[in-house]
Amino acid sequence: MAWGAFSSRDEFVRHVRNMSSLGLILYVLGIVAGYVPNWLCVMIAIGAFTLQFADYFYGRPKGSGRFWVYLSIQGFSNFFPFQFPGDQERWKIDTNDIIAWQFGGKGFELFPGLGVLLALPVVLYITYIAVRLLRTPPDAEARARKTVKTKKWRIWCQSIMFGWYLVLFATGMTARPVTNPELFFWFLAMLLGSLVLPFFIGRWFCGWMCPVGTLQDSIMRFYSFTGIKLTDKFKSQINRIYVPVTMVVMIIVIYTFERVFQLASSAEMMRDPDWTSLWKPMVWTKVLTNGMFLGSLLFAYRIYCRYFCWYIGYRVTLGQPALYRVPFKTDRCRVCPDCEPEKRCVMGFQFQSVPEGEAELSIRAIGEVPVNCNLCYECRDTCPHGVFQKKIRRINVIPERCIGCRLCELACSGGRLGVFDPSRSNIQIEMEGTPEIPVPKLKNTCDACGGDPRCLKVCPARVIIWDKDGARKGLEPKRPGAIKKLFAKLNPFSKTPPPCPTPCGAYPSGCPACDINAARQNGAKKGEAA
Amino acid sequence: MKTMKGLDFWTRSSVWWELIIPGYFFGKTFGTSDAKYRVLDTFMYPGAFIRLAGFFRDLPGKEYYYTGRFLGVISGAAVGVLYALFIGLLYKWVLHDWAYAKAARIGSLCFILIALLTGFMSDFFCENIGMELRIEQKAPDELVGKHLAQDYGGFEKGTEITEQNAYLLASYGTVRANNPDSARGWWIGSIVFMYTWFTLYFLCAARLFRRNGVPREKWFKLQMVNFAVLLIYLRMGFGMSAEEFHFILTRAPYILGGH
Repeated sequence: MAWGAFSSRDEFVRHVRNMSSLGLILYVLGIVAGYVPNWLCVMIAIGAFTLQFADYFYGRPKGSGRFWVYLSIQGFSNFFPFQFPGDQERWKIDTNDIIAWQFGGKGFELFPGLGVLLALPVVLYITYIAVRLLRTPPDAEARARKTVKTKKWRIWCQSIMFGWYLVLFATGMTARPVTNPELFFWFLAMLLGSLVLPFFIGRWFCGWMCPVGTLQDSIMRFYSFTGIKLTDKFKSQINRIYVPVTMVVMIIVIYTFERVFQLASSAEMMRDPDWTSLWKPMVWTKVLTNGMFLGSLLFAYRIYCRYFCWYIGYRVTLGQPALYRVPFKTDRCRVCPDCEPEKRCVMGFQFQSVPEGEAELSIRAIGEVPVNCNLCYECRDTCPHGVFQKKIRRINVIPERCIGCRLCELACSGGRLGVFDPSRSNIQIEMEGTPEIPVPKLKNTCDACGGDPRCLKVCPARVIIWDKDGARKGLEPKRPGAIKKLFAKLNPFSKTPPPCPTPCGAYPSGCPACDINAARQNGAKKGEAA
Repeated sequence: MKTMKGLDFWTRSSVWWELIIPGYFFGKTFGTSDAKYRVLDTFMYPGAFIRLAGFFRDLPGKEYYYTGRFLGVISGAAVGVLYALFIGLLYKWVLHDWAYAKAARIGSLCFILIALLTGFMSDFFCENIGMELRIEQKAPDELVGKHLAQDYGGFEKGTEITEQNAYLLASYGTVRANNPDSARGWWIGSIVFMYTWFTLYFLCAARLFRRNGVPREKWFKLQMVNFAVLLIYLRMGFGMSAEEFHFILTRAPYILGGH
């Protein structure tokens, strides 16, 4: 192995994790000492990004290396710190514009020179990691292990929001006046994540934008120290007192936010602004938000989000009538003994069991995940049977075309199981009638190989087709839909032919063997003749 | 309707909190206005609610500002909870189900959208009244330097009335003028927003019925209950008619004079 290359995925994770945690320590230290550079925030965000994508980036280490090269350049060239203000009154005037906050203030360092002292070894370490990553060959196994269909979009979103929040957090902590840009962030969080989005997509904010969730999804996930451990008894009991208590606390929080951001009582605030007592809810809100961020470090991965976050009560209450939730198609679930979605679910949902006393309203009965779900889509990316997808691609057969070659049986068992055993394949050719003719039959266990069916590729007679209209389940063809049909009926110029009821997906222009098409063609000929 | 079994007191109590919180959202707006502007809020919201919350707000006296505000908000929230319970009662009547808490909870959770809308409406409509004007472009020359009553409504009639009454306002100092076109946009935007919100209310209610195991044949009736409740709320005084706007605008100088 060439010098500088990471020898294993674990080593890669270890270095990135150490870098991120070092950045986090310096970040907290910088807040206390009055010096937090901008690029430090970016560093932690990129660390989080590469950690969440650990498998992906170990398969493509150069991609990760280029991130870190960019960061080392940033570290050398960018030394804008957020510092303590020297003159608070002057600071209030100077930093009235929130943009000015984001690019540092005009304060002073409590310990002069500390910033450069801290920056130098960190930047050298970043350069070291960057060089090693650039010299590391990709790992084929890691590349194959990636499960990032939806996850990649989520991680991009999380990392960007995380970096932004860290910048705002640093400016808020090092600035003493009550006007606080970090509160602006939480104002947006409340407005979008708690007031508007829950009606549409529930706790989407928690899975895709919340900085506390990102911190735990990335850095905290790779620590052997799992924080304060909760017993099963505690987990089972806490929900019973947690929900009501959170809701009571929630009213206090809402009331506070209303006072701070003038959400619902802005009329009153604008009529009679009471600036002298406005600092009280400001401090209260700062304690809550900062306490939430730092307090989450004490707990294991996503435990905080499950049991302690005070936002949950709000989002869950508003998210009850949400228009969308991740579907759970019970009929597709095979109750696998080693359920990957259940292992990966950050909220700890039990997809296969039915809790006592809640059978009728369980996930399996309702066909949706609970309102607590934060839409991380780990389940959808990992379930091989498409249980969490609304629609999956299925295959169907046209028995009349089968020539009985049995290639499909071999392809199915060989492709899925690695053995050529027709008796274990999901498609079986049975001989029926007199004289015997081959009839292909699909088992219910067929899941179209997760969207890439082997049998469809090898069939020489095009017996196996995509089941576009769900005819295999005995459903009527649904296209065009009722609304389209209505418009077609109302439109006097519509020339849309009626849909063919047969599942003839192999021939877009019409199956030549189909009686309906033959009748249509005959009808057209008669029309021409007339 | 399906109900959960085997849960203990605390978890069941959360059902009541889910009932109370939408009520709080709904009612607190009624208690936020002080005596000076209460007369304006009675045009936007049901007057009875505003006056009730106002009575409690005035109880502690002027020197206890926050106590009064707290009492006003709480009394408004009590009105909201009662309103949610009323919806629950209608739901129970439709569902023929003795699980009244459950019915009230479903009704209340649907109702939370309307509750939030009430809060938004205060931003969209009421705040403009008697406060600074947000829109300052293209002020007519004859109004520059004079006190223009309001940009509320934003139609030509409103501007005309304002211009006619501009001389009444001159003695109160320099306040800004408005732009009728832009104000009309606010008006239309507000109406579109309100009815979009109503639509969302019905859609969300349907999702909630499905998740709570409400029988399919009851859905239409329950939606009709929702519709009736909306109508009642609108007829009680939610929203503002053109006549009310005219009344306010021509009297705004006297109501708001001296500020």
